[in-house]
Amino acid sequence: MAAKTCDNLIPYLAGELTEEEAAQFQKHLKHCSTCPSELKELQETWQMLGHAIDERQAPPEMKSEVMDFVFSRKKPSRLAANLASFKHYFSPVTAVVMIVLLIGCIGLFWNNLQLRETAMEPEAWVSEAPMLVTNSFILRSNDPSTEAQGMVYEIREGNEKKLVMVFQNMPETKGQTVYQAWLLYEGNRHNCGTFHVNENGRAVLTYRLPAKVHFEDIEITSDSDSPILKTL
Amino acid sequence: MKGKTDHQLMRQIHRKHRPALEELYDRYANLIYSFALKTTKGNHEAAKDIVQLVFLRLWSTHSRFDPKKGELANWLITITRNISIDYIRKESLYRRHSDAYESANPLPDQKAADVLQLVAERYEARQIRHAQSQLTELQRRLITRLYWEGYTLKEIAELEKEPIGTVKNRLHQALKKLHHLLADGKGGLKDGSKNMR
Repeated sequence: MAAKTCDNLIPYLAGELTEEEAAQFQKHLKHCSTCPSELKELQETWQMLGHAIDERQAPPEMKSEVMDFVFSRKKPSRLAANLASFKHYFSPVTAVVMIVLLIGCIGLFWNNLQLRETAMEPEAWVSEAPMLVTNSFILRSNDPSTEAQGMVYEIREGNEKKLVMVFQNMPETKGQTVYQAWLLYEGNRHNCGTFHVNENGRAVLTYRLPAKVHFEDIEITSDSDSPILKTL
Repeated sequence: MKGKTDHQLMRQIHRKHRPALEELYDRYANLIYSFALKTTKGNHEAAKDIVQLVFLRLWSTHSRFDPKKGELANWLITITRNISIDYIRKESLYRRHSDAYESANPLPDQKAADVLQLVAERYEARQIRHAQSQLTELQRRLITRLYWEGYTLKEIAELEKEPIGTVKNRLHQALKKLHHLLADGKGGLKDGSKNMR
């Protein structure tokens, strides 16, 4: 046992023993007849080794760098203080709730991002179902002096129905006024969008038809209720 | 501040007196830097990092320097070696539990440092190198690997392809021989060093 402990002389010198092992070895030193004197010699020598260096001049600028390094290290302790106060205010239960909420928020944010990406994705607009024009209408004015007219295509794309309205020779809108498109069905007018026309009197409007809507007429109005264009 | 002894400076540092640390720097930066430079094989940037860590340790440590137990230079060298070895081991991606290392290798005012007073007389680097030159190449290599390069005994055993017990014995013999060479030459070395200057 003693021989085995004496074996720890060099590991002890080199600082390789665990705290417990080192304590055991120190105990052993009190009883061993050879280890204490051996250790004394070895430690002396060990210490001398460190002096076997050529002393060099430290670069002059190093002093300020070292001092900055030492004295700017107070910041982490402030962080530690903040952390401590955080722990003080947030009990484990609160912390768990906070974490759950945080995870939820991150999840929602991620989901939102994904949706946004999908919405922004140009391919998302490309329909896989073939488009088919199922009906078309011509919109004309009651006023024979104007050449304003519109063409409406009813389009089926898979299970969806859309209206695409193309206008030309429309009188230019002024100020805040816009054109409004209406669908007439079930005895009422239903708004299906507003639009401006460009300087050439042209405009386009698209509208997704609600399911099971069978409209009777389409009207385009401006600032008054009387239609500028209507289905022929 | 200039007239203070090392011990007085250390006491003031312990009480967080900044000018004392600056004075200590002026006195020992060259020694610490040179030591760090040797352990890092001349890497200036790494040596600078080590110097910073040493002074941070001196500023923040609770361990006290005890002048009865040896010179401050020895105490500083021990701290610098601990930090250097830790540093180069991390750098070279050797993994050793640094906490275990620290706890098993405390500052010398804590443990067994009474021996340091025996090294009351500072040895010249030249004298130590002269003694080392009388060791065998293997002995010098083992000491370098352990002391300067921070290899563990187990790693040295692997490098040397020898059982760990053999490595321990060889190191023991190498250090003992060095001790005797230095002790024998101590009286004469004083005169010798005068002659060499």
